[in-house]
Amino acid sequence: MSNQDNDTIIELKAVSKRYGFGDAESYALRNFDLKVKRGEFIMIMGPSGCGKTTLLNIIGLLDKASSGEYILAGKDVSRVSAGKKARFRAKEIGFIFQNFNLVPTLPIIENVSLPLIYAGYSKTRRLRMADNILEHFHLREREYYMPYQLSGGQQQRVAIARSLISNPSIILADEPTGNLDSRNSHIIMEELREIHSMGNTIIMVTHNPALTTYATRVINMLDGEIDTDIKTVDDSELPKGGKGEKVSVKVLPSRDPIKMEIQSESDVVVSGDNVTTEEDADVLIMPEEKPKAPAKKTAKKTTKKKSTKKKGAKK
Amino acid sequence: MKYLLNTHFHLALDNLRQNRGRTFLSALGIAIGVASIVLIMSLTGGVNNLISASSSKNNANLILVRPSFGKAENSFIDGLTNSRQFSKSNLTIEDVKTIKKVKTVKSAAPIAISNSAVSIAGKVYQNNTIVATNNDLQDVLDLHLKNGQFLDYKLRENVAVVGYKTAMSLFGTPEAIARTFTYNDKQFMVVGVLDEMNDPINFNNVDFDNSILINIDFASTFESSIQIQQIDVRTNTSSDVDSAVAKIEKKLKELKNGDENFEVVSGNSNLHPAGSMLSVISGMLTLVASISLIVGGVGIMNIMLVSVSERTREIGIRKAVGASSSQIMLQFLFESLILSVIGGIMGFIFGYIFAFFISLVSPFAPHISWQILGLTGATSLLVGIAFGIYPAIKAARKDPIESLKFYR
Repeated sequence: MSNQDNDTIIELKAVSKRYGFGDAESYALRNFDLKVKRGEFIMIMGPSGCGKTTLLNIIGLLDKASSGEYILAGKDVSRVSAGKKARFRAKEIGFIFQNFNLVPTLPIIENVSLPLIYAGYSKTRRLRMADNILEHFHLREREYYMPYQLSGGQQQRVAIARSLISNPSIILADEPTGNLDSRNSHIIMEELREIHSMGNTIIMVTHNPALTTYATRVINMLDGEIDTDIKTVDDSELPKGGKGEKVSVKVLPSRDPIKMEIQSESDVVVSGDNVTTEEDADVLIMPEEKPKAPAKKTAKKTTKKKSTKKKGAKK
Repeated sequence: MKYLLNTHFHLALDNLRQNRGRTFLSALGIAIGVASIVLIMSLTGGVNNLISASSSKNNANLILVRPSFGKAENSFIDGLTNSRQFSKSNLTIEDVKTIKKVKTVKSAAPIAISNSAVSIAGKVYQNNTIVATNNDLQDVLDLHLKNGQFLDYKLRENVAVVGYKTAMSLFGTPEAIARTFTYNDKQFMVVGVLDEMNDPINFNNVDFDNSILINIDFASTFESSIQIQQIDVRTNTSSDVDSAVAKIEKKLKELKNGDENFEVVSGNSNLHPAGSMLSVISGMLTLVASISLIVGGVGIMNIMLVSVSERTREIGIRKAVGASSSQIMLQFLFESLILSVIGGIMGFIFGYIFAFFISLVSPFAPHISWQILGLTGATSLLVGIAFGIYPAIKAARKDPIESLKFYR
């Protein structure tokens, strides 16, 4: 990343999306400007039809803006070819949908590894990576279940695992809790918070004002424009993960972190691209088996160990 | 790229596995088309083999002299149907004698065919192939006798040699020596019975199993205008053929005062006109069979279209997670390709099974060749692409946003 404004990952400049012509013309987005910094957890709220989903689709390169400029990770992507957009989606963007959108005919592990197909990984590597990430989501035992054999919350966790697997710059979530009960919503939001705390950028559309507590920034939209834009966390307080990568920390060798004291640096393996070893980093240590949030605690630790590069095909 | 092709291939295969029944049925459509093509080609190939087997034995030093009617009339159809057989020939017994004078000619036998009735003890048998020829025929065609001896004009003129099946049908026994029959009010005595040959298609257009051979010199005494359809000539060695052809042409021209109403041919392709007739028929039949292949292809297209619309959502998901349109297209194209190739393999096997069953009741064995395998392979691939490309394009063109909204 040679970009000087290294912190800005998404920049929308005067983006408009029009539907129809003449009298029937209507705007889903009107001269929309948005700057998203790495590590932000943005919630987009607003009434139905205010352009939230359109915005998300444009950011996710699924839709094309009628006018305006879109800079994603330092590259102007408003006028790139469809094939390049697809490659961007495979490598830089993770989608989470309201209705999970798992392929019903594929087992969980293959659903999770779906983006890796299009990022060009071999089958063995795809499955190994999917296996690793599913272990993180405590779904390893259900790897070869079919989606319909899982509960809604589990399906959404699979979808989150899928969105994370190719190590994207941003994660776009369109009402991820919309189809879930409050308990599962809570679990999903905790997962998202954890992902965020690892340094991922998340943009989430929701109708539920209660969820805004998780966000670092809340944008209220009205009729295709920004109504209010509130930052609840200062930019300097945003979690850092290099290039917005997930920094996964594995506690070795014990599986019970509470009983274990970190003796030396070699007990901690930090993986992820662009993880600098010179500066302090926020490290999240959590128990492997318990999915519930309360068992979590954050520790601050200086890691001097050389980062083991992620094996992903980052160029 | 290699990974991607491999991956798409496996994706397609996985999906086809999930719909086994549907996969089988749509492949069956192709299989029937391919099977009929394989059947036709292997059977006509078998017949062709039979012809060339019969004509290739000892044909290197064979020359045929046939009547000719000038190039203009020698059209394609004429060549196919042997229509000259039914027209007035201008070959004569004199010509045979002239040909025999050529030094390198070992033997020369006229073939004069007529279909006539013969009677035995007052009972009339219709439609017998009577071949008027001379005693050289045995040498020219390498005929083997089961019993008795061949025609010998010096021995006795009103003798006959009968084919094996004719002996059975006329006399009820292959031991027909010394039996008599009446043809054209002349009584003939059987002096020999031919070995069974099972060679109904040959360059003489005579099935010698079902024929009566008589002396042409004798026949010319009671039949005013005898029609010699062709003269079979055998030279001493195969290296003599070219010079013999030239000499025969020269001598016959001299004899006929410069008339060129005959042709002298040699070589396998010229010896059996039935072969080209057969290849035309087999081509036509293959064309008809390929209609069923098209039907099978439409079946694949249909099932692929259904599959595309059923999986709209999956297409949307795949696009959202990074599949490009061409990747989606490849995936679906591979599916139809696999379908048609499975169909092709099934058809190839079915076709040969059928062909073997048919060969049980027919005189020829099915013809197995790489050409048939290659042709069926290529056509099934072609059908897969031709009928798979439209559904694949349709899948690739789907808008991801619309597709994700799609509910089944």
